[in-house]
Amino acid sequence: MTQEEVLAHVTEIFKTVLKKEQLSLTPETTAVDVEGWDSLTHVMLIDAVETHYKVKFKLNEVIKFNNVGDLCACVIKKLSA
Amino acid sequence: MLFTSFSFFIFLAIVYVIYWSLVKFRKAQNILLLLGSYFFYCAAAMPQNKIAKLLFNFRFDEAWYSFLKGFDESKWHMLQLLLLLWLSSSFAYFMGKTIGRQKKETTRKWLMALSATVHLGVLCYFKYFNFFVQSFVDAANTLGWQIIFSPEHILLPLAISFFTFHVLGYTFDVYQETYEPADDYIDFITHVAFFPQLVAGPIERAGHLLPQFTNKRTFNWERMESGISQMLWGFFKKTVVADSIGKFVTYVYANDATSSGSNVILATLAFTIQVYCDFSGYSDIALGCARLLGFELLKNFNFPYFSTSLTEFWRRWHISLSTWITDYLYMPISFNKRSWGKWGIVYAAIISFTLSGLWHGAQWTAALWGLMHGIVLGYEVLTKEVRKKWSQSVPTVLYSVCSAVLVWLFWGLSQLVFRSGSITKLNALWARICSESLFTMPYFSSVKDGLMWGGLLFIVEWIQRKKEYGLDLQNTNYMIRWTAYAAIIVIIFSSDNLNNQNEFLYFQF
Repeated sequence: MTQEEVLAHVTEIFKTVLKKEQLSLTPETTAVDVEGWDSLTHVMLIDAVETHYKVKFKLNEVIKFNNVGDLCACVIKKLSA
Repeated sequence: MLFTSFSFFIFLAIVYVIYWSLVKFRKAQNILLLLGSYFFYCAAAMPQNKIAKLLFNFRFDEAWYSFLKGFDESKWHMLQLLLLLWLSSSFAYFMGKTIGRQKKETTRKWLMALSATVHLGVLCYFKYFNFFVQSFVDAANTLGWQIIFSPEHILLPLAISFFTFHVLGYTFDVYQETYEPADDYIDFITHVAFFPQLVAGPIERAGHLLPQFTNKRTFNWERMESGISQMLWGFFKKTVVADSIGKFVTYVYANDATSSGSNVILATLAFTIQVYCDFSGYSDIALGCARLLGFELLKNFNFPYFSTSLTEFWRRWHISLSTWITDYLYMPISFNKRSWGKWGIVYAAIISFTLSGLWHGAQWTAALWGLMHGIVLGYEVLTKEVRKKWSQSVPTVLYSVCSAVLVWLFWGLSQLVFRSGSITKLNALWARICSESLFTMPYFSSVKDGLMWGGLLFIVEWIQRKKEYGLDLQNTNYMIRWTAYAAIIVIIFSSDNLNNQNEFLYFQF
């Protein structure tokens, strides 16, 4: 699966969880750029991505996510493992 | 030695002059800061008259005689405190190195657990030993067992809660590989002991502060002005507002049996202003003082009383603690319970805030205070959508003002619980509020000065809410700027409180 495909899925997941239809994500997007993406919704987003891809992240992995690109890269790594 | 004492100015002036004269020798600057910080730490625990004697009437023959005579109990205590600070930071440095060298995940985890156990064990012994044993004994006696317990005489080391969280954060970062282990031992122990932030925060992160110690500092007039103006704003908050209100609050809370209900309400609401001006004032002085030496500390307050929800409030109040709690406590708990959805977040918020309450004090009222905040934060998580709809159905200004007032009133209620200090006293104060005396006229005249200056402070902070701090006038007209500085200096020096050295509230934590 390519990063573009994962990014498209992740964008849909973010739209659903954050209830923002107009949301657009790039690999460089961070929590600061998205209204409503805070420490309270962060774990809900992680859980939704895990459920969608049927993967499990570790806390150490999640802590190192600096942007959406890091999240997508981790998903790809998990799927190809 | 308090930030507001004359001794501190002498100390700061000496350190400042030597520090900037060593501008080409970064290592020497750091050693100076280390020695200065250790001196400051000892002096903070020393009576005011002894520091004055040390700074102004130092006589070598007397000092030598005193040395030969040996240490009395208070000097031993001071040395023990210093030893604890040094051991705590040294242990964190060596554990960081050891964890960083290990490749095996299980070993790393065990080392991290060992490090956390030692740091928290020391904190628990000094801060919570008597509290937990006494609570257990009380519970056992209630159940009919006869247990007698005499509390141990344990003195709480100054700033232990702050430097323990500082070094623990570093250890967690190294374990989670979000920060490389520190290389230089002197730089590391200096950044832990750095005197502007040592006694009452901000709780620094190694990733933010340590690189500033490893890099060269350059002198800059604009930063000097900014540092001094932020310190001035802090002194204004502390000496003019907080200390004026503090006397009335202390009187009402000390006389819970005779104070009228209306005075308890007034004192509680006044306390919300006192605690803000006291603690954010301290933080302003700390940030300004660090900037004078070429360092930027973490922002600790961002005009919290303009928050329209409790969630927002905690992003603006004691930011260095709330982000610490979020990163190292709330995140692991909520991540662990992420399959619970919103209820996992509520659960994590309640646990994190209750523990955060206990960090503030070894009292059940502190835990109750934290629990109250956790519950309301949980409520805000669960009702986010509904509240958004409400906000769209009324004018924005009206919704914002009502929300800010509600947040402030809840904060006041929780401060009643916190400030009472014990469940017995809380019950007594609550009984006064529920009595007929609630309808008597409170002693407004006792706090009118503090409230007037407090009102002016909030107007200035509202105007300046997009800036870093209330007196941040760097880009303002030269005349306005210096007139404001001069006015603040005159107000501070005209204050009666300047001669009374009132300790900062957060020193006790």
